Amino acid sequence: MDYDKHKIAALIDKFWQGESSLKEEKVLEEYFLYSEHVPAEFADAERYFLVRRERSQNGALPADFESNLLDKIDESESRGKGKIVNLTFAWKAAAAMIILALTAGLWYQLQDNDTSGQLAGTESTVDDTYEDPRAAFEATKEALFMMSSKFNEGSSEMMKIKKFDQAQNKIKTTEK
Amino acid sequence: MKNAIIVFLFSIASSVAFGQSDAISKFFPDIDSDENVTRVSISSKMFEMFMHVEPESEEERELLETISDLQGMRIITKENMQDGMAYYRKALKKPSAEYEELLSVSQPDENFTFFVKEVNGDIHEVFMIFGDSESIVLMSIRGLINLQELSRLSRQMNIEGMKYLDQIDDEKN
Repeated sequence: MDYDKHKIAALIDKFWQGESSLKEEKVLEEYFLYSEHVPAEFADAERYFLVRRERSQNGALPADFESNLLDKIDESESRGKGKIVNLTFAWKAAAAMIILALTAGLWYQLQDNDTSGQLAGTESTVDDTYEDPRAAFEATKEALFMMSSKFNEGSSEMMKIKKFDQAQNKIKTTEK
Repeated sequence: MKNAIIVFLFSIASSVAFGQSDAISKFFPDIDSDENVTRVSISSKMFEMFMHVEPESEEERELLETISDLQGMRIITKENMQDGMAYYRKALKKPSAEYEELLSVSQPDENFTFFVKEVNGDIHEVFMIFGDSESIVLMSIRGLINLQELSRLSRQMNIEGMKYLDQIDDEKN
Protein backbone atom coordinates (compact mmCIF):
# COMPACT_ATOMS: atom_id res chain seq x y z
CA MET A 1 0.00 0.00 0.00
CA ASP A 2 1.44 3.28 -1.04
CA TYR A 3 1.16 6.25 1.14
CA ASP A 4 1.62 9.84 0.21
CA LYS A 5 4.48 11.00 2.41
CA HIS A 6 3.13 14.56 2.54
CA LYS A 7 -0.32 13.38 3.40
CA ILE A 8 1.13 11.24 6.20
CA ALA A 9 3.19 14.16 7.46
CA ALA A 10 0.05 16.31 7.50
CA LEU A 11 -1.88 13.62 9.40
CA ILE A 12 0.95 13.25 11.92
CA ASP A 13 0.94 17.00 12.52
CA LYS A 14 -2.81 16.94 12.90
CA PHE A 15 -2.45 14.02 15.32
CA TRP A 16 0.13 15.76 17.49
CA GLN A 17 -2.10 18.78 17.60
CA GLY A 18 -4.93 16.62 18.76
CA GLU A 19 -7.10 17.38 15.78
CA SER A 20 -7.07 14.02 14.02
CA SER A 21 -10.14 11.86 13.72
CA LEU A 22 -10.24 8.20 14.72
CA LYS A 23 -10.31 7.29 11.04
CA GLU A 24 -7.16 9.35 10.38
CA GLU A 25 -5.44 7.75 13.35
CA LYS A 26 -6.35 4.36 11.98
CA VAL A 27 -4.71 5.36 8.66
CA LEU A 28 -1.55 6.40 10.51
CA GLU A 29 -1.52 3.21 12.51
CA GLU A 30 -1.79 1.08 9.37
CA TYR A 31 0.87 3.15 7.71
CA PHE A 32 3.43 2.54 10.45
CA LEU A 33 2.45 -1.08 10.67
CA TYR A 34 2.70 -1.97 7.06
CA SER A 35 5.24 0.49 5.59
CA GLU A 36 8.63 -0.99 5.12
CA HIS A 37 10.47 2.30 4.97
CA VAL A 38 9.32 4.90 7.34
CA PRO A 39 11.18 8.19 7.01
CA ALA A 40 13.35 9.08 10.01
CA GLU A 41 11.32 12.24 10.64
CA PHE A 42 8.31 10.07 11.42
CA ALA A 43 10.30 7.97 13.94
CA ASP A 44 8.58 9.46 17.02
CA ALA A 45 5.15 8.98 15.59
CA GLU A 46 6.03 5.48 14.42
CA ARG A 47 7.24 4.49 17.91
CA TYR A 48 4.14 5.93 19.43
CA PHE A 49 1.72 4.17 17.12
CA LEU A 50 3.51 0.81 17.32
CA VAL A 51 3.63 0.91 21.10
CA ARG A 52 -0.01 1.93 21.21
CA ARG A 53 -0.97 -0.97 18.98
CA GLU A 54 1.11 -3.40 21.00
CA ARG A 55 -0.52 -2.26 24.23
CA SER A 56 -3.98 -2.46 22.79
CA GLN A 57 -3.27 -6.01 21.61
CA ASN A 58 -1.82 -7.05 24.96
CA GLY A 59 -4.67 -5.34 26.67
CA ALA A 60 -7.22 -7.22 24.58
CA LEU A 61 -9.51 -9.41 26.56
CA PRO A 62 -8.85 -13.14 26.36
CA ALA A 63 -11.47 -15.19 24.54
CA ASP A 64 -12.76 -16.82 27.73
CA PHE A 65 -12.82 -13.51 29.61
CA GLU A 66 -16.58 -13.17 29.51
CA SER A 67 -17.35 -16.71 30.58
CA ASN A 68 -14.76 -16.48 33.38
CA LEU A 69 -16.24 -13.20 34.53
CA LEU A 70 -19.76 -14.63 34.53
CA ASP A 71 -18.53 -17.67 36.45
CA LYS A 72 -16.95 -15.42 39.03
CA ILE A 73 -20.11 -13.36 39.33
CA ASP A 74 -22.19 -16.51 39.81
CA GLU A 75 -19.74 -17.77 42.39
CA SER A 76 -19.76 -14.52 44.29
CA GLU A 77 -23.56 -14.36 44.11
CA SER A 78 -23.94 -17.86 45.48
CA ARG A 79 -21.53 -17.02 48.30
CA GLY A 80 -23.52 -13.88 48.96
CA LYS A 81 -26.80 -15.78 49.02
CA GLY A 82 -25.37 -18.23 51.56
CA LYS A 83 -24.47 -15.42 53.89
CA ILE A 84 -27.90 -13.84 53.58
CA VAL A 85 -29.58 -17.14 54.40
CA ASN A 86 -27.42 -17.55 57.51
CA LEU A 87 -28.10 -14.03 58.62
CA THR A 88 -31.84 -14.46 58.12
CA PHE A 89 -31.74 -17.65 60.15
CA ALA A 90 -29.81 -15.91 62.93
CA TRP A 91 -32.36 -13.10 63.01
CA LYS A 92 -35.23 -15.57 63.11
CA ALA A 93 -33.59 -17.46 65.95
CA ALA A 94 -32.95 -14.27 67.89
CA ALA A 95 -36.53 -13.11 67.31
CA ALA A 96 -37.87 -16.48 68.43
CA MET A 97 -35.74 -16.31 71.58
CA ILE A 98 -36.98 -12.81 72.38
CA ILE A 99 -40.61 -13.85 71.84
CA LEU A 100 -40.07 -16.93 74.02
CA ALA A 101 -38.42 -14.85 76.74
CA LEU A 102 -41.25 -12.30 76.66
CA THR A 103 -43.90 -15.03 76.71
CA ALA A 104 -42.16 -16.81 79.57
CA GLY A 105 -41.80 -13.52 81.42
CA LEU A 106 -45.46 -12.69 80.96
CA TRP A 107 -46.46 -16.19 81.99
CA TYR A 108 -44.20 -15.95 85.02
CA GLN A 109 -45.80 -12.64 86.03
CA LEU A 110 -49.30 -14.04 85.61
CA GLN A 111 -48.41 -17.16 87.58
CA ASP A 112 -46.75 -15.02 90.22
CA ASN A 113 -49.95 -13.02 90.67
CA ASP A 114 -51.86 -16.25 90.78
CA THR A 115 -49.44 -17.66 93.31
CA SER A 116 -49.77 -14.75 95.70
CA GLY A 117 -53.43 -15.65 95.77
CA GLN A 118 -52.52 -19.25 96.41
CA LEU A 119 -49.98 -18.26 99.03
CA ALA A 120 -52.76 -16.77 101.03
CA GLY A 121 -54.84 -19.83 100.42
CA THR A 122 -57.32 -17.81 98.46
CA GLU A 123 -57.34 -19.85 95.29
CA SER A 124 -59.95 -18.07 93.21
CA THR A 125 -62.85 -19.88 94.90
CA VAL A 126 -61.70 -19.08 98.45
CA ASP A 127 -62.38 -15.59 99.64
CA ASP A 128 -61.13 -13.80 102.69
CA THR A 129 -63.07 -14.79 105.77
CA TYR A 130 -63.10 -11.20 106.96
CA GLU A 131 -63.76 -8.05 105.05
CA ASP A 132 -62.77 -5.75 107.86
CA PRO A 133 -58.97 -5.58 108.31
CA ARG A 134 -59.35 -5.08 112.07
CA ALA A 135 -61.45 -8.27 112.42
CA ALA A 136 -58.99 -10.14 110.19
CA PHE A 137 -56.11 -8.86 112.28
CA GLU A 138 -57.79 -9.98 115.51
CA ALA A 139 -58.31 -13.46 114.05
CA THR A 140 -54.72 -13.57 112.82
CA LYS A 141 -53.46 -12.47 116.22
CA GLU A 142 -55.46 -15.15 117.99
CA ALA A 143 -54.37 -17.85 115.56
CA LEU A 144 -50.72 -16.87 115.69
CA PHE A 145 -50.71 -16.77 119.49
CA MET A 146 -52.26 -20.23 119.53
CA MET A 147 -49.69 -21.48 117.05
CA SER A 148 -46.87 -19.78 118.92
CA SER A 149 -47.88 -21.26 122.27
CA LYS A 150 -48.16 -24.73 120.76
CA PHE A 151 -44.80 -24.21 119.12
CA ASN A 152 -43.22 -23.23 122.42
CA GLU A 153 -44.95 -26.07 124.21
CA GLY A 154 -43.54 -28.46 121.62
CA SER A 155 -40.12 -26.91 121.82
CA SER A 156 -39.99 -27.34 125.57
CA GLU A 157 -41.09 -30.97 125.18
CA MET A 158 -38.33 -31.43 122.63
CA MET A 159 -35.82 -29.95 125.03
CA LYS A 160 -36.95 -32.34 127.76
CA ILE A 161 -36.35 -35.23 125.38
CA LYS A 162 -33.02 -33.76 124.39
CA LYS A 163 -32.00 -33.43 128.02
CA PHE A 164 -33.15 -36.98 128.67
CA ASP A 165 -31.04 -38.16 125.71
CA GLN A 166 -28.05 -36.23 126.94
CA ALA A 167 -28.47 -37.71 130.42
CA GLN A 168 -28.79 -41.19 128.93
CA ASN A 169 -25.65 -40.70 126.87
CA LYS A 170 -23.86 -39.50 129.96
CA ILE A 171 -24.91 -42.65 131.81
CA LYS A 172 -23.77 -44.81 128.89
CA THR A 173 -20.41 -43.04 128.80
CA THR A 174 -20.00 -43.46 132.54
CA GLU A 175 -20.87 -47.16 132.28
CA LYS A 176 -18.13 -47.64 129.67
CA MET B 1 -27.11 -18.77 74.13
CA LYS B 2 -27.77 -16.12 76.76
CA ASN B 3 -31.36 -15.90 75.59
CA ALA B 4 -31.70 -19.65 75.86
CA ILE B 5 -30.47 -19.53 79.46
CA ILE B 6 -32.88 -16.70 80.33
CA VAL B 7 -35.79 -18.63 78.80
CA PHE B 8 -34.75 -21.74 80.71
CA LEU B 9 -34.53 -19.87 84.01
CA PHE B 10 -37.89 -18.22 83.39
CA SER B 11 -39.45 -21.61 82.75
CA ILE B 12 -37.97 -23.07 85.92
CA ALA B 13 -39.04 -20.06 87.97
CA SER B 14 -42.51 -20.23 86.46
CA SER B 15 -42.95 -23.90 87.17
CA VAL B 16 -41.69 -23.43 90.72
CA ALA B 17 -44.02 -20.49 91.21
CA PHE B 18 -46.90 -22.35 89.63
CA GLY B 19 -46.30 -25.37 91.84
CA GLN B 20 -46.82 -23.35 94.98
CA SER B 21 -49.90 -23.73 97.13
CA ASP B 22 -50.28 -24.36 100.81
CA ALA B 23 -49.96 -27.72 102.53
CA ILE B 24 -53.71 -27.89 103.17
CA SER B 25 -54.64 -27.68 99.49
CA LYS B 26 -51.76 -29.97 98.54
CA PHE B 27 -52.26 -32.82 100.96
CA PHE B 28 -55.76 -32.48 102.35
CA PRO B 29 -58.08 -31.87 99.40
CA ASP B 30 -60.75 -33.93 101.18
CA ILE B 31 -60.96 -31.72 104.24
CA ASP B 32 -60.27 -28.61 102.12
CA SER B 33 -63.44 -29.21 100.13
CA ASP B 34 -65.47 -30.44 103.14
CA GLU B 35 -68.46 -28.21 103.81
CA ASN B 36 -68.72 -29.19 107.48
CA VAL B 37 -65.60 -27.43 108.59
CA THR B 38 -64.80 -24.04 110.07
CA ARG B 39 -62.45 -22.01 107.95
CA VAL B 40 -60.42 -18.92 108.54
CA SER B 41 -58.61 -17.52 105.53
CA ILE B 42 -56.49 -14.41 105.47
CA SER B 43 -55.21 -13.50 102.03
CA SER B 44 -52.01 -11.70 101.09
CA LYS B 45 -54.13 -8.67 100.21
CA MET B 46 -55.58 -8.64 103.70
CA PHE B 47 -52.07 -8.91 105.16
CA GLU B 48 -51.21 -5.85 103.07
CA MET B 49 -54.24 -4.06 104.48
CA PHE B 50 -52.97 -4.67 108.00
CA MET B 51 -50.63 -1.78 107.27
CA HIS B 52 -53.62 0.47 107.76
CA VAL B 53 -54.67 -1.11 111.07
CA GLU B 54 -54.02 1.27 113.91
CA PRO B 55 -52.23 -0.63 116.70
CA GLU B 56 -53.98 -0.33 120.06
CA SER B 57 -50.95 -1.27 122.10
CA GLU B 58 -47.20 -1.69 121.86
CA GLU B 59 -47.77 -5.42 121.67
CA GLU B 60 -49.99 -5.01 118.62
CA ARG B 61 -47.52 -2.69 116.97
CA GLU B 62 -44.79 -5.33 117.34
CA LEU B 63 -47.12 -8.02 116.09
CA LEU B 64 -47.98 -5.99 112.98
CA GLU B 65 -44.29 -5.60 112.32
CA THR B 66 -43.67 -9.31 112.84
CA ILE B 67 -46.37 -10.38 110.41
CA SER B 68 -45.49 -7.85 107.72
CA ASP B 69 -43.69 -10.56 105.71
CA LEU B 70 -46.58 -13.03 105.87
CA GLN B 71 -48.48 -13.74 102.69
CA GLY B 72 -51.33 -15.86 103.84
CA MET B 73 -52.89 -17.88 106.59
CA ARG B 74 -55.44 -20.63 106.60
CA ILE B 75 -57.03 -22.58 109.39
CA ILE B 76 -59.45 -25.43 108.91
CA THR B 77 -61.13 -26.96 111.94
CA LYS B 78 -63.24 -30.07 111.75
CA GLU B 79 -65.13 -30.92 114.91
CA ASN B 80 -67.46 -33.65 116.14
CA MET B 81 -65.36 -36.33 114.50
CA GLN B 82 -65.82 -39.99 115.31
CA ASP B 83 -62.12 -40.60 115.68
CA GLY B 84 -60.01 -37.49 115.42
CA MET B 85 -56.86 -39.29 116.55
CA ALA B 86 -57.08 -41.81 113.71
CA TYR B 87 -57.39 -38.98 111.20
CA TYR B 88 -54.46 -37.24 112.87
CA ARG B 89 -52.24 -40.32 112.56
CA LYS B 90 -53.13 -40.67 108.88
CA ALA B 91 -52.65 -36.95 108.32
CA LEU B 92 -49.08 -37.08 109.61
CA LYS B 93 -48.07 -39.31 106.71
CA LYS B 94 -49.41 -36.99 104.03
CA PRO B 95 -46.94 -34.08 103.83
CA SER B 96 -44.24 -34.76 101.24
CA ALA B 97 -40.49 -34.57 101.83
CA GLU B 98 -40.38 -30.84 101.09
CA TYR B 99 -42.18 -30.38 104.42
CA GLU B 100 -39.78 -31.21 107.19
CA GLU B 101 -41.14 -32.25 110.55
CA LEU B 102 -39.97 -29.69 113.06
CA LEU B 103 -41.47 -30.93 116.28
CA SER B 104 -44.17 -33.25 117.42
CA VAL B 105 -45.99 -33.61 120.74
CA SER B 106 -48.08 -36.60 121.73
CA GLN B 107 -50.15 -36.33 124.86
CA PRO B 108 -53.03 -38.46 126.09
CA ASP B 109 -55.62 -35.84 125.22
CA GLU B 110 -54.05 -34.01 122.28
CA ASN B 111 -51.36 -34.31 119.64
CA PHE B 112 -49.79 -31.80 117.36
CA THR B 113 -46.98 -31.70 114.83
CA PHE B 114 -45.24 -28.79 113.18
CA PHE B 115 -43.83 -28.98 109.66
CA VAL B 116 -41.75 -26.34 107.93
CA LYS B 117 -41.09 -25.78 104.28
CA GLU B 118 -37.67 -24.33 103.66
CA VAL B 119 -36.48 -22.71 100.44
CA ASN B 120 -32.80 -21.78 100.29
CA GLY B 121 -32.54 -21.70 104.06
CA ASP B 122 -35.61 -19.49 104.54
CA ILE B 123 -38.81 -20.82 106.05
CA HIS B 124 -41.65 -20.15 103.61
CA GLU B 125 -44.42 -22.06 105.31
CA VAL B 126 -45.20 -23.36 108.78
CA PHE B 127 -47.84 -26.02 108.82
CA MET B 128 -49.39 -27.45 111.97
CA ILE B 129 -51.63 -30.46 112.37
CA PHE B 130 -53.50 -30.67 115.64
CA GLY B 131 -55.67 -33.56 116.63
CA ASP B 132 -57.64 -34.81 119.62
CA SER B 133 -60.31 -37.44 120.05
CA GLU B 134 -63.03 -35.52 118.24
CA SER B 135 -61.43 -32.76 116.22
CA ILE B 136 -58.67 -31.95 113.82
CA VAL B 137 -57.11 -28.55 113.09
CA LEU B 138 -54.96 -27.80 110.07
CA MET B 139 -53.15 -24.49 110.13
CA SER B 140 -50.82 -23.02 107.58
CA ILE B 141 -49.02 -19.68 107.55
CA ARG B 142 -47.11 -18.63 104.47
CA GLY B 143 -44.53 -16.01 103.68
CA LEU B 144 -41.12 -15.35 105.14
CA ILE B 145 -41.33 -16.75 108.63
CA ASN B 146 -38.87 -16.33 111.45
CA LEU B 147 -39.35 -19.06 114.04
CA GLN B 148 -37.85 -16.91 116.77
CA GLU B 149 -40.45 -14.26 116.01
CA LEU B 150 -43.17 -16.90 116.09
CA SER B 151 -41.91 -18.06 119.44
CA ARG B 152 -41.72 -14.51 120.76
CA LEU B 153 -45.43 -13.92 120.10
CA SER B 154 -46.51 -16.16 122.93
CA ARG B 155 -43.51 -15.23 124.99
CA GLN B 156 -45.07 -11.80 125.19
CA MET B 157 -48.08 -13.51 126.71
CA ASN B 158 -45.89 -15.24 129.28
CA ILE B 159 -46.48 -18.71 127.98
CA GLU B 160 -44.38 -21.25 129.75
CA GLY B 161 -41.71 -23.31 128.14
CA MET B 162 -40.22 -20.69 125.88
CA LYS B 163 -36.93 -20.35 127.70
CA TYR B 164 -35.52 -23.22 125.63
CA LEU B 165 -36.74 -21.81 122.36
CA ASP B 166 -33.75 -19.80 121.34
CA GLN B 167 -31.62 -22.91 121.50
CA ILE B 168 -34.06 -24.86 119.33
CA ASP B 169 -34.35 -21.97 116.89
CA ASP B 170 -30.62 -21.58 116.67
CA GLU B 171 -30.34 -25.25 115.77
CA LYS B 172 -33.09 -24.91 113.19
CA ASN B 173 -31.98 -21.63 111.65
